[in-house]
Amino acid sequence: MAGNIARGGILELAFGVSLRELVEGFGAGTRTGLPVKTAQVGGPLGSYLPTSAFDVSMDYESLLAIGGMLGHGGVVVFDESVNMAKQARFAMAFCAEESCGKCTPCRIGATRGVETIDKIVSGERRRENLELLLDLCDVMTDGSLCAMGGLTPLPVKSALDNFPADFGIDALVGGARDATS
Amino acid sequence: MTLLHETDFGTPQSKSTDLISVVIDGVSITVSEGTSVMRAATEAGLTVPKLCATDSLNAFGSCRLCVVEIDSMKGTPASCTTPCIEGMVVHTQTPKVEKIRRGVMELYISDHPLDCLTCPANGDCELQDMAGVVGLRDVRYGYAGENHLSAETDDSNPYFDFDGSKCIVCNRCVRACDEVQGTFALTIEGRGFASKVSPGGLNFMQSECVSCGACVQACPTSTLEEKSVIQLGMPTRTVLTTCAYCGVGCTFKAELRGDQLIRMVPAKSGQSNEGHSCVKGRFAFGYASHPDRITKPMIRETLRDDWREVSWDEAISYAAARLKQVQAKYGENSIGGITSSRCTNEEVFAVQKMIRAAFGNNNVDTCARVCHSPTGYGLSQTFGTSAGTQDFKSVGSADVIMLIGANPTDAHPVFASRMKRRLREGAQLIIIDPRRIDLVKSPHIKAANHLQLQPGTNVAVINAIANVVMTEHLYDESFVSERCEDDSFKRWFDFIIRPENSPEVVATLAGVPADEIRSAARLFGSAKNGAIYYGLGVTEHSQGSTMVMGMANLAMATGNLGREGVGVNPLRGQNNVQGACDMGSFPHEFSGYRHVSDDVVREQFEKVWETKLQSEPGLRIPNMLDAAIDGRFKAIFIQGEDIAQSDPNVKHVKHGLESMELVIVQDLFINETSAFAHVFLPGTSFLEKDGTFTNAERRINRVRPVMAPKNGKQEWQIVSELAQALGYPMHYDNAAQIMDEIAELTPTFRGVSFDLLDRVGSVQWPCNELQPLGTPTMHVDKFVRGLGQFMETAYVPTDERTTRKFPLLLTTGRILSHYNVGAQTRRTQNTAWHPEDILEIHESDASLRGISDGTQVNIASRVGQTLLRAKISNRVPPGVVYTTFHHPISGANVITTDFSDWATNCPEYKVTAVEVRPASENIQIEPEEVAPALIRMAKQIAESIPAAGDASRAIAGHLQKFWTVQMRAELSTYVASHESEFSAELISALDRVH
Repeated sequence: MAGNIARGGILELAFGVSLRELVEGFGAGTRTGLPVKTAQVGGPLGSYLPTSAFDVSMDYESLLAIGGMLGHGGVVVFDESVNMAKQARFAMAFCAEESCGKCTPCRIGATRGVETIDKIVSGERRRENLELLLDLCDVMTDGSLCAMGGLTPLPVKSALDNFPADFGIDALVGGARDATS
Repeated sequence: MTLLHETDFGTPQSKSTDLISVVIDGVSITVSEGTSVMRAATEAGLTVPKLCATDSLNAFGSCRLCVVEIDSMKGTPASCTTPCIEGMVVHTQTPKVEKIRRGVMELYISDHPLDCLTCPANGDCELQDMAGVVGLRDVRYGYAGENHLSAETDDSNPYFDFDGSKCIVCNRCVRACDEVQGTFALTIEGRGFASKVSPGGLNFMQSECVSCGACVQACPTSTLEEKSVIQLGMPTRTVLTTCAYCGVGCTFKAELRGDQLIRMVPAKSGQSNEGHSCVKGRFAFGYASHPDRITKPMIRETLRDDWREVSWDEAISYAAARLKQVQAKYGENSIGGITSSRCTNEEVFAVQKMIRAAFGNNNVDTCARVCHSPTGYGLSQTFGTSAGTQDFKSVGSADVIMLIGANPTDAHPVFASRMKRRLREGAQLIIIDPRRIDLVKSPHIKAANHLQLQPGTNVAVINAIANVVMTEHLYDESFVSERCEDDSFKRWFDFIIRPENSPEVVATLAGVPADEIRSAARLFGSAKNGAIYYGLGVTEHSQGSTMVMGMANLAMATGNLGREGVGVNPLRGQNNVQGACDMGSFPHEFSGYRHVSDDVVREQFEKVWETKLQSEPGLRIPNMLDAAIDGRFKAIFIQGEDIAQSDPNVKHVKHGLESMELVIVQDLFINETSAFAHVFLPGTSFLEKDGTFTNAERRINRVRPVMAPKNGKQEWQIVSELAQALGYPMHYDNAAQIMDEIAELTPTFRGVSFDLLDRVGSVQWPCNELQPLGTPTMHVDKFVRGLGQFMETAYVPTDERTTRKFPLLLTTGRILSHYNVGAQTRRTQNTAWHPEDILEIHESDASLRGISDGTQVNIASRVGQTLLRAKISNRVPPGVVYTTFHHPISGANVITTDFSDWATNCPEYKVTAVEVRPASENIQIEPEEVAPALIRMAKQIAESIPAAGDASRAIAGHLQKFWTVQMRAELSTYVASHESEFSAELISALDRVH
């Protein structure tokens, strides 16, 4: 348990504890005292979950069912001051930084991902670039050689899904394509 | 005629013989187990988009264009890295995979220059093709993002450029360098988006790159591109032909634009090279159109006159008239000729026919005399045929490889790459060589044993190895008893186990620790498949023939013959040295190695050639030169060989040439030999020839004309016209007719025709009724001679020894970028790698003489001296110096002596006693008294032919088979007055001869 959390550290618990219990109970909320906005579960390639999903049980299947990933079990907490577009950008930048460069989706995709998120945030052809970003996420998910490129879309898409306002958009209608600007 | 595109199956062929069936896009196909989904799809006639896959390289799975969907498999696996499984159902075109492919292409193109229309690879670019195939319509990322468009071009290599801005980081070049060539010169530097191909070091020229071209060929874009394509444009048509450099005989696609040759690309269909090449064959063909080419016949009365260009008719009638004059004055046997291993079988056959039928004598020899004649002799004695036993592919099944006196990474690079691949797979390597060649230790390769012997001690060392094999019972008793002669084996066994052949005794004279010899012998003796490969370091010695028999003995004793992965394999120097020998170029043999004294054979030739032929052997090259100096040999026809540079003791060669009244040279360029010529008949380069070459694995490959002869005629036409002018009717309409005559007269070639070769690509002789498609492996169930014959191989040291005055031993070799005397490669940009010959000398010998790296030195032997630049090197041991003879200016053969192999006269290039001093210091050479060559050779023969059995009969047989009547008579005269110098066996042999 790390990030913006009052009581960070390592906990050993049986599967089944809820994320809320972890963040609010064991972790005692944010260190800044501001309300929790999200937690990234499973590592830097894990999904950003909104507080509305915090009742999820911490196990493989339950997290998978809501588009998350247990990963290495890490929970990184953010308060409401966080900008999730920046976090999505960070995920792509992290991938670009860590990419070995062997496969194309990860080698070029991560760099283009950063650039495309920047365009979305700055309002440049927002609708088209949003669609492009989602297409890129599909190519990386289905086309990458390893989990590095394959999972990078998780934090990006969960940030978009759950916090569209941070990208300057209202919502992702129908879960995907038809975003409004 | 259009550009030949060979199908790229994406991944290599599986070696498995188990078959499985899969269904791809509804098409059922049966493939061998281990076949990738991609390859299966291609074999089924379907195409899966790909960029990082090509069938010369193992699957890599990086581009992600070839993703497919497979029933009962999760996700979208790459078809290149996914092997077929029985019953698999594959879909190569689904909306899901099509979307991924478009997405991947969009990413590629977002970091690629948009200059397709002006790009040199326009029309020959896989990236461009794939953009079309996947239906890319838009690059939504734009082109302003991070990119590599300003990456610099590395144009340091004279033949190709590396344009980093076009690189898609598919790794094909890096993998080709690793997997195909085995040099490991290229790598991917950095990672992620910053990944880029790097030759390490400053640039390609300053790197480990050997310029084999594998990376250029593998590149799917214009990143690695031939300069000729950049400058001249894409080729438009292909002529499939055979390289004219070394004895590997690579098949190339000569790619032309109109009638201009743009590039040479190795053909995957070529069975000797399977799509690989080296810097010489791939790039060094520019000599063919070099301005130095002589294209008009020239004559002159005397050597003091200037050359005068004349018509073909005048040149031929002039040459014929002078040949007839000489014969009228000095007799029928006063003229002769030399065939060239650089020429086609048909051209060589024509020259030897002209000599035997139109000159009316057997004074024909070939440049194989000075390279692999001991191979012919040694393998013929033991196995019954004058040729290597395997195909090149066989090395892929060898477990222990014994490499003797050969430096394949320099001299036979494409075969070396095969060998290195097998070594990386785990085969063990034993190297027997005085010099630390690259294979002793190079990336991913380390020889188990390097027996760094003193030059000239090969026979002692091979005997010691056989001694260990026999005394430690590592030999194959059943092979020996079933396949070999019992009595010759017993005699050899008694000989080889003698203490004088033990490693402990040999160690002192060869300078190799006994333990090292024992360890090598045990490794080879216990190998499942042990294969011997050798080069001129075996043959070019006083005991060359003995050494060939020594290796043959070892192979027989260990049962390493008659199947894949084993054998005794000469690495032939010249492109057609095997062929030139096969074609009856030797003075004692007709085509197919049949002695001229064999009445049945001779009558066949007499019948077809409609003339009487001599039944006594003619003169060998050294005999011709000696006889010229003695005033008995007066005219010579030299086909494509520069004996005044390539043959040993050049002073002696020049003296011989000067002594003749007529020298006719057929060549591409004015050279050292043509300085002594009266008639110059311009020849054709391999790009103009129509015919066949036979490589070191007995493979007969087609040579097809890529351009019209620059001299206006094929060489066999010129020779036929000369024969006609001499009064002998000789005419062919085309080269195919000559091959038909060869097939008619030669049992091992009976089934060969241009038609067959055009249909099947190539065949290895014997090719006849029994083996209609040729013979990859010889001696499978029995030896050509029936049972294998063991030969006693007593070690008779050379008379060429170090003295106080000449304390170092010079040995010679080759370098990758140059070929033989350099007549061709010196006229290409290969000089960028090796502008001059260098003398390698050990630090201790150098410091003793005040020589440092780069010092110009004077090197002298008892026959001559020359200047070379020194390089301090620990490749040679103390006491040994090494150089190459690619440049006439250094003239290494000024120093080499006329000592030669006892059986075949193959010169002892590999051992010359020398002294080396800084160029400022003079070395005094006083001519030493050396017995006449003939007498020396007779003594060598008497010493080398085993004393056991009937030695006198064996010596007599040898003299009758290989010596001319005149030579035997001269020997008898000498022996009569010097009887005490000779052994009783020799004297009684001479009695027997008469």
